[in-house]
Amino acid sequence: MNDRGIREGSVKTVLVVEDDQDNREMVIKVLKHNGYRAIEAVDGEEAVERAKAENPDLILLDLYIPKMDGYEVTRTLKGDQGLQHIPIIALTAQAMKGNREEALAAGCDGYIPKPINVRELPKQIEHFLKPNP
Amino acid sequence: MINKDHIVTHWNRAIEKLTGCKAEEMVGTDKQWCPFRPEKRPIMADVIVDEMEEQEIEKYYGHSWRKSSLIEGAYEAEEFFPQIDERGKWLFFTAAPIRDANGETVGSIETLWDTTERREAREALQRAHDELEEKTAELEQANVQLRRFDELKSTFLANMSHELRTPLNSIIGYTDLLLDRVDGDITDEQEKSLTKVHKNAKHLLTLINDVLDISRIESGRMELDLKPVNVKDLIGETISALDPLIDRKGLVLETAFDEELPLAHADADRVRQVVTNLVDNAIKFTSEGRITVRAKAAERGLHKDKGPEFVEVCISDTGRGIRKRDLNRLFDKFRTLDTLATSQYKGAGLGLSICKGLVEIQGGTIWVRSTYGQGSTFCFTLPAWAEAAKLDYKEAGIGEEPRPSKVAAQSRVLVVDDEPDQVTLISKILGEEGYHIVKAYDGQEAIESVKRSQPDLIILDLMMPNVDGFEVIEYLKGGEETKEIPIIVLTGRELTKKQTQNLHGKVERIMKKGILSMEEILEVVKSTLGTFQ
Repeated sequence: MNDRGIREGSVKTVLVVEDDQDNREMVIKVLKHNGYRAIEAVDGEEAVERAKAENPDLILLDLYIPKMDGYEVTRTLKGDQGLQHIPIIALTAQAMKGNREEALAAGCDGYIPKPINVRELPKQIEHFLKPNP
Repeated sequence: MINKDHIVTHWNRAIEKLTGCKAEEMVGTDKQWCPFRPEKRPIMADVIVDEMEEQEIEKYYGHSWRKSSLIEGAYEAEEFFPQIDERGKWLFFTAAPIRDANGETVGSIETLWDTTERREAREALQRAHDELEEKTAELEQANVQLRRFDELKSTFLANMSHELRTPLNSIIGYTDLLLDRVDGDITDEQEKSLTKVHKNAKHLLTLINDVLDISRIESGRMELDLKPVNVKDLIGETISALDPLIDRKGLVLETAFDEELPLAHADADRVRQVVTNLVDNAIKFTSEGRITVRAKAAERGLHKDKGPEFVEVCISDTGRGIRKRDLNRLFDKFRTLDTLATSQYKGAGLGLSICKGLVEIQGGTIWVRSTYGQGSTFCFTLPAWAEAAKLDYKEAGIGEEPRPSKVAAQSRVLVVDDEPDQVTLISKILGEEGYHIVKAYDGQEAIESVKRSQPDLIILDLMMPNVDGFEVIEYLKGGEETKEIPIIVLTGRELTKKQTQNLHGKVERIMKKGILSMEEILEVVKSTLGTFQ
């Protein structure tokens, strides 16, 4: 097992928000394989609930999700003093340029273009988990 | 003609023909009313002979009569007579008094004209006019509908893009995981099969992306992120990603760059896409020899003195080349040349038409030269970054080129267009020059925005839903506080002569979308603001 997630002694928790089950499980599989603890949410409301309950180290957030879309989730979490420190990485459709800008405007800390490259994903996550210099 | 006793004295041929009553039946009688009316009633000549009061005339002729402006003492009227002819006739008639030496009225002469045709023509014209207005309204309605469909199409495209990629994302991702032995070891045969799944899934993804790209280009919805692009660096990065392919085929790849290559005014991702596609094609169709990528500054004939206006990129190969007859249709959609349509070169045939579309929406051109059997050269151009704008300052004798942001910072520009892409594009270009941009997406919003933001200049589209550009102009030019704000019209439509005349004197410039490059628009904005400040 890879030890990316357990570098500083504690296992990092990543919340995966994605409504497509196969894609969600795939990302979780990659995360677990790389030593992260993964928790999941299938829609925007659940995402906010789980973020509040579990205080994850990072959120991977699909923008097109039911009930409350990714932009709304971001605004909600970034508006919450207890949660605004959690980095949110938007999973954006690559060809839709506007999405990236909108995601960043809504308060996302970064974005990973879709389709997700499972070989790149661990590096991308690690990059966003590094404390800012 | 009648005498003072209302007896008919003359009944000419013309009136015989008109009424069907012969002179011998009429002359000597007082039946002049009879061809016209079902019962006895004074005709206009009788009115004259009786020297009737106006009130009394009105009893018979209502408001359809008046005093003649040509003949003194004569009255005229126009009425419909149902009993003349089968279909009835419209007659215009004038009756004038006949006076003796003492000025006494001794009779009256009445003349009639058949005005039926004239009236019918006028009515037909009116009907045609009404119909035309109705049709115009219908067309406007249809136009609104079309816009709505277009929006639906874009939404559909965006959704489909998501829907198609999601399962594909899973296929590619899980295959990757299996190939990476995340779930344990696999046999060589399994690896081969999985590699095939992977390769085909990637190919499908490319096809989906191509179809979406071509739809976006064609519907004008391709979003561009126009920035200064260092073409040399971009080409370097792009081809290094293709190195493995080149090595595998044992080809040589060379690059050659002008020393003073201007920056391009382009969307880096899109340029990368074009270069990748062209170099990829070159690799695909070259079995031995070399591929050369060159970039140079290119002048345009018209403005030689203004320095390079374009960056030109050429990709040459020593491959099989293209037959002359195939050259013309090379950039057509869904076209894979028959000679090449083997499984070895499969594709949707969209690559080159996407390249053409991408180059053209960025303001460049693309072309090909080829000798069959000896190789091909594909070239495309991109506009150079703000070259024209820079030169303007120098020519104006200001000397040192000021930082654009300082000049522009004081200016607020309102950009109005119902096409968000257009607004984004113009805003981006002006924004990068340091102008403060206010956006509006229809006429109503524009008017409200003008009141709120007091812009120094307005760039205005004409064809917009609800309140269109013409109405915005009328409104602003009618307002004391707004009438001095210069307006530049940027329209996608041909204007009629009347529309152009109507705009004359009210707007500073009328520009056609798509014809002018962004630099030219920038130049117009600058010079307009210069005049007004």
